[in-house]
Amino acid sequence: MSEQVEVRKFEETPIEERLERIRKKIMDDANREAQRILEEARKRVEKVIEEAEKRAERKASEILRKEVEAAEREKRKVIAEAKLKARQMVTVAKEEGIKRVLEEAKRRLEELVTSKDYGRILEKIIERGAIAIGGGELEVVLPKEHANIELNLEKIASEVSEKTGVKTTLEKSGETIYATGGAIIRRKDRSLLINNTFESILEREEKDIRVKIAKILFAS
Amino acid sequence: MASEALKEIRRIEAEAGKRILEASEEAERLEAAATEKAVQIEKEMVEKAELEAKRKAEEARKEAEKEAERIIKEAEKEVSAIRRQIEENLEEAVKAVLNAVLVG
Repeated sequence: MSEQVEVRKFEETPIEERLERIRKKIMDDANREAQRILEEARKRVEKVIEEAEKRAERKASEILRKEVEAAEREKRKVIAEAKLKARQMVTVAKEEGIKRVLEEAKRRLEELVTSKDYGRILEKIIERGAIAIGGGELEVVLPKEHANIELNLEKIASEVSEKTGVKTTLEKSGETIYATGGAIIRRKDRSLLINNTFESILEREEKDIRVKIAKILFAS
Repeated sequence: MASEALKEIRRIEAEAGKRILEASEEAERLEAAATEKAVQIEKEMVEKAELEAKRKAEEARKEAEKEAERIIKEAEKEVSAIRRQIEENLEEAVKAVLNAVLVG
């Protein structure tokens, strides 16, 4: 049907019917527009929710990651501290053992110097020092308390001469020292000295002695 | 008659305009509600994650405490064993020290 025919037909139609057709057209257009507006709004709503969910998921996962990492760090710290404390406990216990042995040894050395055998032991200490010094004209410096102990210095000198091949003489020095036991052996010209007092030996040999003690105490 | 018809058309147009306006208002309401819901969704998920994180942190803390306790107990056992060894071997060690001092 052509447009002219359409127009003619419309003009021939009663006014009420024409108005109804206009009304229907306007309302149909309005409804379509309203529908479009709502449809677009619904799409925007969906997008807003979808984006919010994604954003929230990202935030949540970031919170969780950070907190879990912090908790793991804290856990590692607590365990590391416990391990350190455990090592310290063991070290302290071992050190206590070594200290106890050294204290007991010192106590027995103090006892030893009052025993009747000490003279013979002192002679051996002097001999050892004299040999280490290489013999020669030597003198022995003793603690004040042991200055009067009888010592066979001639016999020691003879032994030293024999072992070093150097003619050796030994005499007590007029000087005395502060020490628990042992002696200082030195050349008369004071060019060389061996300090074999108990304190000096313990100090000099401390590292080796501690290793020996540890091996004996904690070997098994 | 033509004037009546024009009036009617104006009325219909006003009704159509009203319909579109209502739809626009409804769209605005929907979007406002969605914005509110989005905020709520974010808030809820963040709160949930915070709770979960707190639970995991507490779990890790308990595990750490348990492990630390186990380590210290082990150390205490080791210390007891060391003390027993000291008692058993004290005499031999003292003799070794005396030997080092007196004999060299």
